[in-house]
Amino acid sequence: MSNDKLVKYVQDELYWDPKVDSAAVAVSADRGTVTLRGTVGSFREKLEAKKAAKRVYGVKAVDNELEVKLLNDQKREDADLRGDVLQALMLNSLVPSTVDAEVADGFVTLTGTADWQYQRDEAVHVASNLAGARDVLDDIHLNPKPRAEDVKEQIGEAFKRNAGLDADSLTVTTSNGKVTLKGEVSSWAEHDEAVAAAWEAPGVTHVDDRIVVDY
Amino acid sequence: MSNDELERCVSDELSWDPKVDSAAIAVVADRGRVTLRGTVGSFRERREAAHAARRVRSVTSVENELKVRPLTEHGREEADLRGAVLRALELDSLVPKTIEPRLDDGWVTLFGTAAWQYQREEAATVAGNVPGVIGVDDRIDLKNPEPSPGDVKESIEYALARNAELDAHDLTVDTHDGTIAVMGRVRSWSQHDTAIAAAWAAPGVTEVVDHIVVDS
Repeated sequence: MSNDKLVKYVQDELYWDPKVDSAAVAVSADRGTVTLRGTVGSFREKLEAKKAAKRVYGVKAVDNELEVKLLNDQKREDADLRGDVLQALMLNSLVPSTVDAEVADGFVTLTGTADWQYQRDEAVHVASNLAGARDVLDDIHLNPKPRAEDVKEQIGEAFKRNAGLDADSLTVTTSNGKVTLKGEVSSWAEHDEAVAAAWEAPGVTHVDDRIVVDY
Repeated sequence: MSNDELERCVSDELSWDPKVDSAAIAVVADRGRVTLRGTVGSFRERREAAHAARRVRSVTSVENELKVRPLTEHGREEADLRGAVLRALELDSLVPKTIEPRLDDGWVTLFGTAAWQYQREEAATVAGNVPGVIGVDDRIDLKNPEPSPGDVKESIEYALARNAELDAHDLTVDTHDGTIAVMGRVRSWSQHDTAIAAAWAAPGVTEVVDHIVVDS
């Protein structure tokens, strides 16, 4: 696919997605790598813009350089924003009470500990939805957990069970709580499914994602 | 795959998924149709259990009969719970202020209006995540202020065609008076959800009728 065509498809997907106001978003593409530049009005929109681009056929990678420009009436005092972040985290049954937050100039950093990656992901997701957040950084530490002997086999089984994955096109290697994934998939949706499955293995503290999205 | 094998795969996926405590969940499969029975400790878990079952190869549909028995430490007073749900909705910038919750014994019913389906879904998701909620009923009205000027069918078909996950040749779109019908076959529930979401993104859509068959 030509760069021009890919740019058009991504622009059309951004325009289509009602969660993103793409009026001030510029798209460029270079052999499958898409760069998003310009501004959006919230951090959630910045995340959704990248998700939208990743849905598009032909997109191998997305460089998200969008800047979050808050309207004046959305700017918050750091202490107030922190209070809201903590409250929102508490109102979500998936986020443990061991997750904390710091806010500086609208930049939210999540700290503390969690047992599972999905809890970290959920905390980031919740914090991203708050008006006034300009960015959310995940500094939550994963508590070490007892490891299963056959993590590699278990992840392989999870891949085989998954209707959205071609288990034969993926390889898993493990070493002391670190899982490395390699292989080729034909969409970012497949990629995300594989990475999520790997993170569900008991005792995993790190997933080295070497999966390539190719079309 | 035999019913027994499918039941085992779904049970394995439920055990695997750390978001679900599957200790009290029973799985029954009948030629691809899976039923989940038993109990879980939160509405979120109930939703995640169905989601997990749908990920499994060869599952064509999931009937979610799980009952929610909240753990005692999350049990809340009615007024408390309503306040909590209200606050959770307020804190999510994607949920419009035109949506409001009513509580009845742990059950949330959402009323009001939204312009887009994604806003309804966000509200239902956020409400369902609040500790102590045992169910969510979405009665939000879709009031779309900008009906589409152009060809909705074509624009949805284009959205499906540019999507990396979908094979648009296996899907067809029909439109009638703001109602969209999507038909065809896909190989996974993930593809199904992606196709339905694409249809809901069309401006002016107030209903999407789902005739997609999942055949893995």
